[in-house]
Amino acid sequence: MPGVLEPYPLIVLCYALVYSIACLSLNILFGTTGLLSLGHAVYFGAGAYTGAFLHTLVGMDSLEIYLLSGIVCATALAAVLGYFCVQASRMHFAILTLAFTQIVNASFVGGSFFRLFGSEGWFLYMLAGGSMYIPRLTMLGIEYEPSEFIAAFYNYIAGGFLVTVFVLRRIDLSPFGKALRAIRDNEIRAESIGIPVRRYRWLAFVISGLFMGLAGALYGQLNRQITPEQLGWLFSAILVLATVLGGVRQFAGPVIGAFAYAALDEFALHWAGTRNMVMGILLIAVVCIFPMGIAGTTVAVADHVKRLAKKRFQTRHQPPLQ
Amino acid sequence: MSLLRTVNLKKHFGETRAVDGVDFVVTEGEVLALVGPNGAGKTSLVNLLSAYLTPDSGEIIFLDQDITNMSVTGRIKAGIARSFQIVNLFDDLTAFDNVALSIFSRENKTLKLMSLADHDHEVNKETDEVLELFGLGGKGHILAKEMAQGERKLLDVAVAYALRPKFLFLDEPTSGVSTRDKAQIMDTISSVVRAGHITAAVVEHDMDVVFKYSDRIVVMSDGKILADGSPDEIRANKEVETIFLGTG
Repeated sequence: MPGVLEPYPLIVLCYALVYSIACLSLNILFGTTGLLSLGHAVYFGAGAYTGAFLHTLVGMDSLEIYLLSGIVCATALAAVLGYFCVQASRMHFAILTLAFTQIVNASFVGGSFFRLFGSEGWFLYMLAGGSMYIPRLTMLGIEYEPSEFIAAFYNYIAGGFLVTVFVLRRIDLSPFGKALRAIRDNEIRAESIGIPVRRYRWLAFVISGLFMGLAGALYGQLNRQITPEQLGWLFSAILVLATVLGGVRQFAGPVIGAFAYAALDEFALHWAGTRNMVMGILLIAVVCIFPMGIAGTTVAVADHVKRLAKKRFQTRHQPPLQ
Repeated sequence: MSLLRTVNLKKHFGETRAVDGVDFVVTEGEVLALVGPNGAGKTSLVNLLSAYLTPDSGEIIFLDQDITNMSVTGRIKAGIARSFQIVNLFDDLTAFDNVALSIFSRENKTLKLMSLADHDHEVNKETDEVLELFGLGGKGHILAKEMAQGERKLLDVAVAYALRPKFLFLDEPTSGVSTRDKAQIMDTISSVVRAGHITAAVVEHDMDVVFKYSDRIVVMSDGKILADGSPDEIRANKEVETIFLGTG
């Protein structure tokens, strides 16, 4: 891709791939397990911020460590917060996830989280109000020139995307994936056949947090600046929106949704003053045309056409009545 | 030999005594019918025995083991399975997946994160066999929600059967289906249960079904056991006739 695309479209593609990872990881909870999380920005933010703190406080400058630390921190956080969230179901689950994201977001906006790192942390907060800057990190120990950086970093993003697709698809097709869908459809019945509902929900939550951490860490390096906004409920809502836009019941839906959202966002950029309004109108139009998400509606229409064709074929080849 | 027994089992909901000091014994290999008018406490008793309700007092003994405080999952592992009064399926999964999940669960394979479910030939083979047993062969690809009510009822029992339980509760397996389907469903279930030597307790309202398919009948009324005996004994029981079956 770097050889084919100009730098700007390549950057847009990188953002779309990062959002795809985030939406895919959200969907293992939402579309597969039936749990709507309004707080996944926390794990995205944890993925982005962890390495930023390591860079600022201890001088870490390796992209590999940045990614790994973000993933580990997001996974650990998902394991802890997820434990509490999965005790509730459906609506209460969504409220709990929202509450946790608000608490974490408030601690970044208000600076209380930065105080944990003493005067140095407080200075960091005072410097940019919770935002952090991430320089171009080294990849496998190599420092890339600014002009070459994005082409090299693209490989990490594409690799991360492919790993996410592979792992989550395998999980989707595994007995565990089927058990998650069973929990989504009917948790009482799932329990009655011996599926430990809460434990499996928690595991889905942790897996989701892990890949959200990866998305966040990739985003941090791509954007090179992170703000408490990436920890807020509004960002969580955008991830949910992009996932629903693509379709939650098809594995490819979140990827399609993420690309569609990125494309619509790019298109809306042309109306700088009224961008949000234009974006809103575009989203309404897409949702009206694709009520089951882009992938879901496409599959439903294709099934309908197939059924019609089959019916027509049967009618044509029906033996004449005796 | 007694497979399951309860000792002075009680469950009250405020003033309502849903289950009120029930001593209940199930003998291995029998097909038992649990009958009674609405509100007699049948479903509450089934819910207590399958851990969907916690008893206020009393004991539940299964294979000489006290399972009173055992969880739903624990009881399933011990060998107790159930179907539900209102069909309770994974509607957006196929009939095949509904049954396969029970087998994966029984074999402790649901935690396999990276193996492909469809490539497990043993589970696939057994799933096909179970579907065939319940007359659902060739319908494995249909989504549960798109099946006819009679088929859904059978699938509901098949999902419980696939756990290979020692004791199977069937909560009104023929409710909401036509008279013609009722006989077909009960014939199928009865033949599968008897061929598999599974001990079963059927909660049922239709007395024709009860008399035809059960070895023993337990009649409940107001949370207590009113009568317990063979179909002929229950038929001849005047108290049952008066209170439950009606005299006219």
